[in-house]
Amino acid sequence: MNRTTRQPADSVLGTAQAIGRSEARILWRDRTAIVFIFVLPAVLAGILGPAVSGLAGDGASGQAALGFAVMFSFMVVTYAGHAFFREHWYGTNARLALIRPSRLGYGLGKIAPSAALAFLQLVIFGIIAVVFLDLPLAGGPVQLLGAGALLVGAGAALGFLFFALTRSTATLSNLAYLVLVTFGALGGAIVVFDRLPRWSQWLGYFTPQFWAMRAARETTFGHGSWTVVGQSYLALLGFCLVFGVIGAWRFDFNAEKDATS
Amino acid sequence: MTNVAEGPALTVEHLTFTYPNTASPQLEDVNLRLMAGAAAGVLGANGAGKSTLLRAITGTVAGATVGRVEVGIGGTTRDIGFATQDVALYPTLTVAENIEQSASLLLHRSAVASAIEGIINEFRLDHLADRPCHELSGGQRRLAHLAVSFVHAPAVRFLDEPTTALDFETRANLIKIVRRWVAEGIAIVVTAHYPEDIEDLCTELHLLGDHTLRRLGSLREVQGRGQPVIVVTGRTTAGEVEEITLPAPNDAIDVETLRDALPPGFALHSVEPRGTRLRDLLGDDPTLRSLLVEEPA
Repeated sequence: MNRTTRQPADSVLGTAQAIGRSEARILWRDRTAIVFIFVLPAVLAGILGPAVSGLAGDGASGQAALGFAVMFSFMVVTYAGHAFFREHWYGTNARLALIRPSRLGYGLGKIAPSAALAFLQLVIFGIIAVVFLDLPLAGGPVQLLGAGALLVGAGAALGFLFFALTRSTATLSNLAYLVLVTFGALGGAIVVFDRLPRWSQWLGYFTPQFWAMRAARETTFGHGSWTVVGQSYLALLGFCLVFGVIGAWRFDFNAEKDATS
Repeated sequence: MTNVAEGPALTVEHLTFTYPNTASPQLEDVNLRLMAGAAAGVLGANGAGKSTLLRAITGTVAGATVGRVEVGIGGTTRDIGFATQDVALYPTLTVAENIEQSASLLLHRSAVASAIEGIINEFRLDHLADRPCHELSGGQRRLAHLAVSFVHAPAVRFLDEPTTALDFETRANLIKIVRRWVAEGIAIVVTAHYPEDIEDLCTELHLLGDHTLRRLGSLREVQGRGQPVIVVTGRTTAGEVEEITLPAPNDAIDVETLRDALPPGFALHSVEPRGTRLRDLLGDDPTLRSLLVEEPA
């Protein structure tokens, strides 16, 4: 079709700012998401942490807290997916389909606030684990921050991918909870990876949580080796790219979705 | 705005649209040519495809679209505004914040603040600007929706049933705004269920039916084609639905006169003015009040 009316909005950054500003406001005013992502891992780490993690001795509680934080940081899958579905709940998708903003800017703006929230959760739990729960820090905090940022990036990209592939919010939410629990378990965020059955360890390599926990263990109980941490970074970056690229390939501003929230 | 003074503001040629997974097209060979300062009203029954027509022209619907859509001369996205039938606002954001997002996506950063202020003033939303949209009434939400849709002052504006949920005063305000747009040279396409909306908002009439769009002519041409009449629908004593056409009076018609003109025992269902305008309903009759019909031109 010859359509001379189509032209992308100005810039990636401008689009990301405009979309991100609205998303941040919406997220801030819906306090339940903020409470949920902080309270749930805190409660579970406090009650179940050392008992189910298989750890004992100094730093065990700290590692358990970090593990639950890693697991629940994947709430970002739900929040990022909902951020995209929100346009269909409120009927604003037609306006975006008309404007056709930069896809990259739109995607970044959509996921940035929820990714920032999940990253903040990891940072706060990391500080608590190191300062109050005697988690050792063999490497630098930068190593932990990098792994956390990439883990959250992979989760946000997965939320985007789930949005692109699903038609309803309910389906996306179910998938998000499924990966939150199973990836968390397989990746060694709940029970230490070495204590998991061999078959599940093999599956664990295919989860972002495993690579995040591997980097975390190297930075805390290990030697802070950049080689080990760097391998984890590469794996996490790979997840970000694979999820993001497939999501972008499947994404369509005109896609019809179920508008029920 | 794009310079559209030298040619049509909107050209749609041989537009055919088919929804995904359907064999036959919803719209077939649609043609529409709209000059600057023209307001095209599109009438059609429920399910005729009025919303689909606007969404196909604006490229905001999933499906196979064939044909040509051109806005002005080298027009861009910024020259189109589309107020969808359903109000599209983020409920927890304020009116100003909703407008800000659209403005930020469509306008240069330096123009955003003045555009927001301008559209808020135009739609008289200043007292609501800082209120979250979920706190607004249906009519206020409709106006905020229109403000968000047209904050970038596009040269061509699509309005899908814009008077839905508006009270009398707000509707009158919207009519004034749309007429001012038309006077300023903006081209408008409006869909409506009711001819009254078309009469109030538009300069030309199109009918959507049998999957295509037919131009019936300018509003004056259409109105001048027949004698003004009142069409009365009801049920006869035999139980059959019947439509009776009566010449429209020059001024008022009271209930007794109307009943005298109908067969005995005729159970009246509805009264519809054609080629004239039902201006008001007066009287004390609980079932049917006297009809005051505007004097035909």
